[in-house]
Amino acid sequence: MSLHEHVLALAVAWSPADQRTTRREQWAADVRDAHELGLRPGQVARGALLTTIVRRTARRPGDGPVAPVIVVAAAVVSVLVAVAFEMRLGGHFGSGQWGWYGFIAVDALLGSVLPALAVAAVLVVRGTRRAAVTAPVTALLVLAAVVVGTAPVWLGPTLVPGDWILPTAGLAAFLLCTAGPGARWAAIVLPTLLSVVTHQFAGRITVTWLPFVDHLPALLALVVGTLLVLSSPRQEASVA
Amino acid sequence: MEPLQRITAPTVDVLTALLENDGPVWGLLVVKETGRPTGTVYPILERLEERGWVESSWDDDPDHRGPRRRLYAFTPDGRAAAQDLRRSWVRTERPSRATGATGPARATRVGTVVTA
Repeated sequence: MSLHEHVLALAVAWSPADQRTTRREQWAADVRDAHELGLRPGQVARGALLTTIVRRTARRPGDGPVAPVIVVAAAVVSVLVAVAFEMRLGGHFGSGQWGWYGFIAVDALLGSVLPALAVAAVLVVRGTRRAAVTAPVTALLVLAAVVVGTAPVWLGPTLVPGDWILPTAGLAAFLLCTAGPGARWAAIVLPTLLSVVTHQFAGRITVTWLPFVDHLPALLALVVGTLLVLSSPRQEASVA
Repeated sequence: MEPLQRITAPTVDVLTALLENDGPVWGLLVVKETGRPTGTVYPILERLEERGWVESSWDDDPDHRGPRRRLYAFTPDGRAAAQDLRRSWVRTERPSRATGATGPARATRVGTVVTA
């Protein structure tokens, strides 16, 4: 299979089940015949994938203005900026340049609190559970982000919680606030598993890159959580 | 037929391309004629179909073997609504992205009715 055929297959696979058959045939014909119109097959395949993403995340009445993929992408960027911040300023505990409290505050904001707020926003708007469930779950998640993010201050730099705690809590929030089969809960172990694997190899990794490695469970949790939301049955819209 | 909630310049371009063709139009031809990316045109066509402005069907031309092309055509109400909508847009002549030459006019903004 060529690259654009793989892209097309991904676009079809991610389409809603009731649209897959139509889209598969329609887009396969368009890719095959694109040259007739002076278009490139790859251009058609990329458009098909974008269509799937756009249509999956499109606003519906009652959904509000939050597009999950965009918001979670912002959360991923925030985590990566936190990684860069730590790599630039002396690893997990910062350097004297920012001062201890300043470093922890910025790091907690970028690496924990902002991503948790993004997750909360997605779940409040797109979660499929009632507000009675979603509101306390998301509030607890944000509180956990503040606590875990600032833990070095009140626990001491050597007793920081494992980097899998907050990602696991985030995934639990995704699972609690969205509907779907119980088997989805198997995903809850993913951040922990990744954390175990990365710790096994920590000794072989250059110290400079440790902040990135430590944030991998968070990035994984954001991606998995987004997929859970997108694959979760939607709430019935109140307006047609 | 339901009204469109979001009316954007690409939406008007798609409606215009459909209006300028008699009968069902191949979706990829709409891409070509508007000069808009496929990732813009496909979602618009799907949204127009969901809201009853257009309906789609398979191209059963025996000359095309294998996967069939998807064709789009206005519903009667959709054609009238599209004509009304197009009249309410300012249109300017711009080079087409697809060909690099002067191509189909592209909608620029929604607003008051402007007549030439």
